Amino acid sequence: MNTIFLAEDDEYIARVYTRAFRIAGYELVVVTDGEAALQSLSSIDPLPQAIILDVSLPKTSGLNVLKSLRSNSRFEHIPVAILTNSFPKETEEQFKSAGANLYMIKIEYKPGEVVEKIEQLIKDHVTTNKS
Amino acid sequence: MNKLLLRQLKKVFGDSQNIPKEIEPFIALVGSTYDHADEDRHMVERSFDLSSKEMATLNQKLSKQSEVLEIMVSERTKELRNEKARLLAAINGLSFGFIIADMNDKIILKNPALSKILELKDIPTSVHDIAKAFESIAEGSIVAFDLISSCKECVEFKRIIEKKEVEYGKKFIRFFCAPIFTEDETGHDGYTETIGYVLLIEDITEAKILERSRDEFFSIASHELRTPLTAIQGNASMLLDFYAEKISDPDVKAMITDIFSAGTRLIKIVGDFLKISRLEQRRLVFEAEPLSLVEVANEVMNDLRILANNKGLELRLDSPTDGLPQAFADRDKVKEIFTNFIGNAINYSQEGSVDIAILRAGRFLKVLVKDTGVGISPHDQTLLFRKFQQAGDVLARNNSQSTGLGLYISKLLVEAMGGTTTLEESTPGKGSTFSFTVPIAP
Repeated sequence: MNTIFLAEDDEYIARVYTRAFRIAGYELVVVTDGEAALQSLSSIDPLPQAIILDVSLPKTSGLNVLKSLRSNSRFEHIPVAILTNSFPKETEEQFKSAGANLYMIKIEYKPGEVVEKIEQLIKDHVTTNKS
Repeated sequence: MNKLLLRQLKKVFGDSQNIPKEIEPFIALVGSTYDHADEDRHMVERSFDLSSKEMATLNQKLSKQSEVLEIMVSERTKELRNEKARLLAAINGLSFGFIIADMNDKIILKNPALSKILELKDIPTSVHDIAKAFESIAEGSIVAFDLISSCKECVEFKRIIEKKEVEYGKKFIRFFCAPIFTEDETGHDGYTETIGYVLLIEDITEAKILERSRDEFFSIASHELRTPLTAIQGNASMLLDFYAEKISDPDVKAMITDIFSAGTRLIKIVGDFLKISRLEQRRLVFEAEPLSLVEVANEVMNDLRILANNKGLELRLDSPTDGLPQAFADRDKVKEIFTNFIGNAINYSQEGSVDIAILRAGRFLKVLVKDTGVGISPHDQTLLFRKFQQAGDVLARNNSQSTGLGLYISKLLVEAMGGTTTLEESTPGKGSTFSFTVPIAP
């Protein structure tokens, strides 16, 4: 089964994306805070096809999780998307330079569109890594 | 014979009979000299007499004048005293600290608010005492603001110096320093002498806290609103996109569609709210570049043509055939303004056309958007371009898709780029013409 990893603290939004990804044939692994994200990812097997992080997560912020992922060679080839509704102090460019491959505002996209964007991201990433 | 001479001759000769005949011509000569002397004396006496009288009159006049002067001086002194009392009361009543200092930074005048704001224990006698207070409250860390050199700059260049937010312990202070100069007595044109400066010290801590909490309120409120809205909207859109066949009851489907539409509108309002708060706080970044307004207008018209055609409205653009200079503005923002103006024109028109004209107006390009819509009454015209104003309730009811913030946002966007928005004309039932200007590229 194709798995996608999601760190999201709002249960309603987590359920929306779980349904949307399930319809598209993916299993969504959901954690609700930054520390849980790091812990879960450290032992995850097989690796997810993509990691989606919210910015304002409890315990450890999305940016910290992102930085920690990007310093781990295990996740080198896995695309990371930032999906947020908040107004972080950091700009989109800062997340991108910290290693995020996609930055999206949740409310601007329908769940179906988010799935499409992530699928495209996975496809692009596979092509980039193969070439 | 002269009386004096006769008396003298009697002393010498006993009787006038005894005066020898041969000296008579001599005596006659002396006598006439005596007579002349007498005349002279009389003259002197008379003129002395006259000037004494004149002096007396003059004296009288002088003493009268001096009396008047004394009254005037005492009145003026009283006026000055009152003036001073009024000024001092005004200065002492000020909520901000007030200092008048001389050229050596010595404090000539200050008010009680000064010590209160800066929480000074000792009475400051020099502006250097104030500067020291800043150093000591910073406790060794660098003071971001050099008071003395700011005052020097103010005096030297005769320039008003203002520092908006200076940290002072837990407080935020605003400084204002203005030079005091007098015109030179010699009356040289334009020559002035600086004699000191005025220093205002305002405690802006509360305003600052208010501003911060407003910022926080907006970002928290918008996040707190956007999160549940994403869930509502996400579920509604998924019901419509993936489960439409499973919904057999058309009423249920209609209700879900309504939830989705209302959600879309609410999301737009929250978005507009955020944009306004950023625009008002001048936080929105503008990236100005030379651009063709005709090109942007055409892009927007292509986007909105379906909307116009669905209502049977014609959408036309008119610009000078010999071309226009490029505008200097942020492309996305200009596109947003065009979309708002043309979108409004389409929304409020049921038939006819929407005519867009771009022309040169001095250092600006002017965009006119003319519609054949419902028009705006003179009363409602005064409410345009304000926050949450759709002109009139009737219009608002006709147009549930609008947030009522579009014109206000356009106005803020146009003004931020140096232009103006105007309602050129409007007649109820006939239509309106709106315009905005954008600076021409240098």
